[in-house]
Amino acid sequence: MSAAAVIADRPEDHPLLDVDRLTIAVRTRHKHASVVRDVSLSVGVGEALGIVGESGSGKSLTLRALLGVLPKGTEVASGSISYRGDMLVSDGRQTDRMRSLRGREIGMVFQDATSALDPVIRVGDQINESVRRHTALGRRASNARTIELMDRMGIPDSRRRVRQYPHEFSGGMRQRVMIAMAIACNPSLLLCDEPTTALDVTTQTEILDLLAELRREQGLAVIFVSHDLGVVADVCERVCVMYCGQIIEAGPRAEVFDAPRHPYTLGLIESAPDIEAPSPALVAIPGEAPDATAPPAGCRFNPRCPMPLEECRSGGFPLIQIPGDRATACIRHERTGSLRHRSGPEAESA
Amino acid sequence: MPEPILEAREVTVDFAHRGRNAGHVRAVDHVSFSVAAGERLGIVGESGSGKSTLCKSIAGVYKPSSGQVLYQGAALPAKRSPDLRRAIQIVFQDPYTSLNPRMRIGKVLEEAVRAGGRTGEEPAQQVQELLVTVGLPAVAATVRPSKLSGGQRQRVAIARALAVEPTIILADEVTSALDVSVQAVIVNLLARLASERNLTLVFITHNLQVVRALCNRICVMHAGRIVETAFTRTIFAAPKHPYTLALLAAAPRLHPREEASEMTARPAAPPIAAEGCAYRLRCPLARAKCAEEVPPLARTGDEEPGQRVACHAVAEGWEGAARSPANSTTGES
Amino acid sequence: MTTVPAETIAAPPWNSSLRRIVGRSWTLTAGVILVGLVVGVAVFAPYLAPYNPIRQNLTHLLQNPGHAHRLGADQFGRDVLSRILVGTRTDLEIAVGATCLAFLIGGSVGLLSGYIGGVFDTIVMRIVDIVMAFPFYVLIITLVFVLGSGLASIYGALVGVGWVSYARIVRGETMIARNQDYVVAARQTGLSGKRVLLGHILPNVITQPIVYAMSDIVNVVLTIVTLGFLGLGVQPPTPEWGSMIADGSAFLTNHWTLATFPAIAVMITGFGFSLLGDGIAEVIEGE
Repeated sequence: MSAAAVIADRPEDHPLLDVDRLTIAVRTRHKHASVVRDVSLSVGVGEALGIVGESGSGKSLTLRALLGVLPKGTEVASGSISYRGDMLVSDGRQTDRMRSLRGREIGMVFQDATSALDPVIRVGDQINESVRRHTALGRRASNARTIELMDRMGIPDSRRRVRQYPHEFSGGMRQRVMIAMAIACNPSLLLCDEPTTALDVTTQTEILDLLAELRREQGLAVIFVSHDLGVVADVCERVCVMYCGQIIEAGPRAEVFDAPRHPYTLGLIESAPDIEAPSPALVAIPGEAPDATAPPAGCRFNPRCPMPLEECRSGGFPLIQIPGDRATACIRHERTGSLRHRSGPEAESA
Repeated sequence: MPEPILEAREVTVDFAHRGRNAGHVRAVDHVSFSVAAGERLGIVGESGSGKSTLCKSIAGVYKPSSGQVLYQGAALPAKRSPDLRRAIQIVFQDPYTSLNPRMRIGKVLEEAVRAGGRTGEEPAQQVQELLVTVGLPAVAATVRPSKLSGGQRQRVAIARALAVEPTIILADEVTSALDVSVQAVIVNLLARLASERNLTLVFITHNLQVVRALCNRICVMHAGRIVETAFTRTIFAAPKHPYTLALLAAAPRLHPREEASEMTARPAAPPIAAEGCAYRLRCPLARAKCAEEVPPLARTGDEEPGQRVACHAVAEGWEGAARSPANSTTGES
Repeated sequence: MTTVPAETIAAPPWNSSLRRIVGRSWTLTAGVILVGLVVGVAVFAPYLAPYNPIRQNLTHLLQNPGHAHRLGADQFGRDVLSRILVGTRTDLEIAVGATCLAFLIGGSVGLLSGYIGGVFDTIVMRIVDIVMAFPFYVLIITLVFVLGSGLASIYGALVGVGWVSYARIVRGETMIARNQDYVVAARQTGLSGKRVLLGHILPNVITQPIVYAMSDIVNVVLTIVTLGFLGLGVQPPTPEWGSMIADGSAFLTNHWTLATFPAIAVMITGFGFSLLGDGIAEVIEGE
């Protein structure tokens, strides 16, 4: 899938970021298997794409691959990543372009600001370091920019706070610092890995509002990884759902959440209904998520699927394009709607 | 009116704070509530609200600095007998630290079963029954916790709690560390067990959606105090306290309202206020009285049955305060 | 109800752990081999030694390594090889014995101190601080002098100084474990403090001191050797590496082998235990 939505009426020749059949493998002394397989996605200028999935789905690894910061023992096995047409990863190998883009054109916000910020360096210095590494500003100018950034992020009393250490900031404020560092040099694309998961819900709203405002002002494109559908709904126009290392559904967010076309997507929606859902009951998906390095044969979801066919137990299941600029990996996708649990108080599924 | 099985009366927990800013941190501030037998109470709050400290004080892990916890009408002493300890069990948030990493699951459960002092069947048999009850296969008894996933460990934690045949189970953020689909499993499991065994459940969480599915009554905590308590239905249909309203408004929705995207970003929230009402620095309705007097948790006559709110604005009917279901701002009627 | 299928839980096959552990770390394997060698020598020394180690042979004084005496003979005609082999027993026995005693005493004190806390903990830690403040050898030598000569005083000195490190390590780990949820849960099950301490806390705090003990044995061997070198250790004619090095150092110019070979034995033993300790740490961290 490489359809890209665009802002306003300006078509671009290339999407901002294009990922084509990315496969990430784990390679240690004991194991060698792919954990992310054949992931293709793209983000247009100013667009927000959500990647939804649970632990083990490979969403975080995918994001890290985009920035070239995969953990030790994992590597891109095949596929390509290109930014504005420039190859960042080609045929599994990183190009030099990646290093120069990282931080400058592509920023990243991590989940846990506590471990992403150095506890013994003042906050101002950390933002400063980010500014100076990617711009040509001198010391005085970058100090001014740091304070400006902190003000922009809504951190009160910035002149005093610039000299404080991370532990003197609350969780929400640390996250604002992280965002400041990430956008210090006006990147065009921001990669966010569960940036609000560790925050209280009221703080989370503030951060999401802040992100929305940045997007409006700077035309920032965002790839937002999260397991929280509601948060993704708040931020993203398009979404793809990952399960066991593969994308199993993709499309415009409103339609995917309104009328999912894959039993797993439906399962996710029903196991965490939001405040305004008619029935508050939580419907569990039976079984457990498989290990991505040893997936079941056939459709990876088939052992837990409420409507498996014999054909689902073998073969590959690439994404099928369906009307409405959507894609799904389920061959029985039209029947997804009929799987909805209509009854209220019956909490558990079979 | 049967007497409540669990009651907290003005429970306050202070922690001594050594170092540069020596003094006391008040984690729980004069909290009072009661739970009837077989009820499912939800305690909702964000981090720093004191809900976990309150949970541990009820269980006897912390001794309240003042106030009392009553079980079946009798005040619980500071040092509790093993039987009293067993009556109130906790299931913890972090499935990675709540099980002894060096002990096989079977041994963990067997120890709990033996501690419960139940005679009759073989402990090994009882362990197998417990595993079946929580939906784990028999082989789970032979492994160490590191071989199990988070959701599986939580099942073990629940089994351990059940092994001593408690009357009350305190579930302290048991789903927060789990994947979304696994949360549903654990919550449904707790619900089923609670009704099958007539257990009283106190479910502590920050997640409003989960509490709506599980609990029949809710207490909302902020900065160590209970700011609102009501039946679940009421909290969602006719919330009154400004903090409750903020929580509901902030809960992410699958289909966000369009006008939300026009709001400009607010700066970082101001801190918790030290005097008077702790929420006043963030509250759109705050007035001078809020800085002078801590609002009492009280009925004010206008609410639904069983609802009490700790807010001057609501009590005195200030402009803008939630007054009746028709004025609530959650969008639900 | 959603039941967890049995396949998702990998039960450990009965013999996999040993093979997995040994295969996982070359350091551990090397350490085990070396230490095994040393221990083997200690156990079978009387059978391996070609000569009686204390028998003097005045016709073979100061022999260089050769056919009759593989590693030479010392100034009393005693076979160096035999003395080194039998000396292994002496040094190893004291080292292991003293370390075990220090481990047991220090570990127990640390466990209680960390769990009980309060005044008891404060007193214990102040004693530990005082002992640690003294330079190591000053304390050891003083204790040996005070306790008189003989094996018991060596043990007394080594254990008297060695226990504090274990106490400190175990106390720290205990204080961490004490606040873990699983300990709280165990208490909540109604178990007594003693059961919780021994059944839950102890197994979780014991790994660090064991790893430390492995490297500590090296230090103890060196201490015994040093004491022997200073003439304060094991008394002659019992073969002991330290006193062999001391005696041999008088002949370094012409018969350097007399001091060097025992020193090599010390080195091999120390190296072996070092590798063993590192290997254990590697395996435990890998878990």
